[in-house]
Amino acid sequence: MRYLARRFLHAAMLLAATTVVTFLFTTLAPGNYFDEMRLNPQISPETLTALKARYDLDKPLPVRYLVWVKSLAHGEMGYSFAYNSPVLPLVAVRARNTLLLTITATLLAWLIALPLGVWSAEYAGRWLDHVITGTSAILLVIPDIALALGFLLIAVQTRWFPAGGMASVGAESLPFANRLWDLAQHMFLPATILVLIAQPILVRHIRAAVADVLGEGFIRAAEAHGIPRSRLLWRYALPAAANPLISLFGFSIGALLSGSLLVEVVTSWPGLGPFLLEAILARDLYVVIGGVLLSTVFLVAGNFIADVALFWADPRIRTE
Amino acid sequence: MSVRALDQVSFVVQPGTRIAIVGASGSGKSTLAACLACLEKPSSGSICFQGRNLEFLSESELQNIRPQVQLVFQDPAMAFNPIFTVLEILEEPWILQTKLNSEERKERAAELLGRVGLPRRILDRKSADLSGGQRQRLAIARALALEPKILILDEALSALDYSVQAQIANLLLDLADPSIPLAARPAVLFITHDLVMAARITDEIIVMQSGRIVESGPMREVMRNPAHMATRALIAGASGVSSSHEKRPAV
Amino acid sequence: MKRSLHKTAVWLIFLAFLHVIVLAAGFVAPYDPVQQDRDRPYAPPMAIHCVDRGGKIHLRPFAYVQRVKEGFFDQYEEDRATQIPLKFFVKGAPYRLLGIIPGKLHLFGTESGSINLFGTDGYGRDLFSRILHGAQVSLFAGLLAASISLFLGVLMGGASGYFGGWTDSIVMRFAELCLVLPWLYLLFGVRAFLPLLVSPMQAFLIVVIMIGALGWARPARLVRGVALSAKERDFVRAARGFGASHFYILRRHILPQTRSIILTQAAILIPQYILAEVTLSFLGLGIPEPAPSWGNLLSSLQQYSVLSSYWWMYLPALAMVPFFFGYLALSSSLQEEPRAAKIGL
Repeated sequence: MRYLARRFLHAAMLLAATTVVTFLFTTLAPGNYFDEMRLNPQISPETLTALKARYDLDKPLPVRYLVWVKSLAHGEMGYSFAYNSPVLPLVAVRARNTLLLTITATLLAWLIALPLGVWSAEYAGRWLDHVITGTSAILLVIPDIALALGFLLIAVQTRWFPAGGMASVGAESLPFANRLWDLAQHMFLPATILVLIAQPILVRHIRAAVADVLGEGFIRAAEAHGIPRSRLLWRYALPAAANPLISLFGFSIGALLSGSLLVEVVTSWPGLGPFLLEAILARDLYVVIGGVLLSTVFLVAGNFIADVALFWADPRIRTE
Repeated sequence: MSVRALDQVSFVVQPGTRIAIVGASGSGKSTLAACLACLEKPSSGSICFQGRNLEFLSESELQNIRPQVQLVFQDPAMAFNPIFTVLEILEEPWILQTKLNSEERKERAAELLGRVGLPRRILDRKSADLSGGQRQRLAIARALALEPKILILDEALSALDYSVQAQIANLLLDLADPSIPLAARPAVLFITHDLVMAARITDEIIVMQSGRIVESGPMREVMRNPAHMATRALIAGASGVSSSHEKRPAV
Repeated sequence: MKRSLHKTAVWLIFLAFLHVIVLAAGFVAPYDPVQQDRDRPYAPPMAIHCVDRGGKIHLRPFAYVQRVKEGFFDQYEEDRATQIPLKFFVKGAPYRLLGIIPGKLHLFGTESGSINLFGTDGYGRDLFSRILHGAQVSLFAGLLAASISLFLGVLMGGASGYFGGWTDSIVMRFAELCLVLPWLYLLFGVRAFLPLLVSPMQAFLIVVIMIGALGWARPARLVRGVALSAKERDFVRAARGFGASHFYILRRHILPQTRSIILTQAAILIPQYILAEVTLSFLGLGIPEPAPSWGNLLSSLQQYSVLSSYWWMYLPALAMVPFFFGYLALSSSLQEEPRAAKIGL
């Protein structure tokens, strides 16, 4: 238990450090949201000063940081200049959209990669293995952006599935089941791209982990006991290979909010990525910080969850 | 309760003498060797070299002292950088401590090889190409490169075949032969758990147990009349060299 | 052992070949990448023929002139009556190889009309030439960032592993922080928040350097491992015994052991950083127009009209594939190099 407490503390400190660094990065750079307005002759300098004061932009850095931390404790994340509204609800909606996409994609990716990896290890050297590793290699070699744009191109040219956005126009008025189907159709393209991007890495790691385990003595012993091969693979080998795979899964969780930026932009999925990008370009300070913080929370949480899962699954760690 | 690797160890090494430091594993011999070679610092107590207390010396002064106390390690496989050739291994001390040019270094290296009974042609080989016995000779050669005042051999023969051990033992006897003038003859500290070897090579013996010195004195006398139980156990263990069935009393 | 060395050599040669072509982009590409041709926007790729309509075989390959279709403004067709012969080693637009050596000779080209193997973009610029020149930017960014990461990684990882103690703790904690930060966002932030006084080129360089600098953590961890195990070796202790300084030991004994890690990491990092540059430029935060980079060549694909009508604008994406393939193959063959070659570690 103390181990877990230590890891939790570690995660919390990491988060705190991230907020500091992000704050520093975004505020040290000269210029702020209102600089654009300065160029506008219709806005008087007094208005600008008043606006800046209202948003505390004239106060020194540490003060702004502390004010922000205090508001965080109250469940707020600051104020967006561009949208003129609190950050948290804005970011939350976008984050929800992203999670909808990435959770689906991650689950699918793992569901597909697990059997592929296990079979690849089981039939190592035979044609099934060659096919699987070969396809993985091809996918790995094609850069993410090429994959995303390629599928987008196919979508647009063939019109088999919607090539952008999250819902069709007027979808809100449809009954629930239709809305769900509409959502699924729109999700098809980005989810497929994400799954294909993740496949080669997942399959490679799963294959390696299972192949390692299959070479061990206890598998041979179980074989000798007459345990059927499929049960052997799934109930004996895979759990034994869990250690590295749990860490990998932790990474998958960690990347839920941050890994899909490019795909979201390319497929116009209204997620956190494009929203943050826009905020960065507009120098909407608190939106940027809020979004980065949320992403980092997931990254750190992913690692922590992996730690917890490992602790629970692998008794060796408990005795350390 | 803290465990001490060395506890109240105190002795003097006279120039040109040959001393064996024996004890079972864990008796603190290697720690002692590391401290003497200035590779580790004792947490209390002092080591004096030629009258100067090492504790009060600066790092750069220590750099000058270290070459005078050389250590030969047990495992010949790990003692050399695998990428280096024999020549590079031997000339490293000269590159670090002298201003000899590469011609001179090569000549000296060949000389040094001759002193330890190795042929000149291995200069271009890698250490991995040599046998265990050859590597230990090389290690001794390297240790002698800077004409050290003290040569410490930390279980240097234990990893070798018995016949090869005998050859190296002879080499050590030659190197530390009393007929060689004191200036060119290093004091030899032979750390081992093998009493037979120790008796062959050295004149004095120090017995260690659990980090303490439990007995010391001239080799012949201690062997004939061991005072401490640890010494007796070591002698008993040594007198049946090939017997693995013989029960050894716990030391 | 020999076989894997052979494999590594093969991939090295393959990559070197690709990089030489890119370095010689001025020569290999028929046209200047910024030269516009407003009469021929979004022209599709031109096919090279050897046999003409009459069934006659020509020794010199040729293409047909493209002309705008009647009644359309953006669709072209081949004018079977007029041929453009393809000539090799023609004189064309001037260029500078490596920015220094001036030249006018191009590998292939035409005397009249223009030949666009990959079509043209919205301004009538030859896509093939733009892809080749754009490769220079993207590859340079990847190589520069990778070098910075490796340099910092070796420095910090080596110091951390060798000196241990406080240095080690601080460096490793810092590494963890760097690994956790969503650096892509921070990068965007820096790029967007850079003062408007800095020229876009300078901003681009700053971003590339930052990408490289932020990526020090992963190689550093690996180098640290090597340094940790190497410093305990007897030969290092022996060198200490000869009065070797820390600097000497790091340089002579520890650094050479990191060679294989550096090579493997390089083969992994370079494509990652190329991709980072491409992503940045694609989103408009990278190298500015009119200079081409693979990224900004692809950014026009964000428009629906381009996606539906001008499929050849996707070709720059495929141009990356042979490079990634080469780097991936190189890194696998490097990792396969047998343990026997690393005796002692």
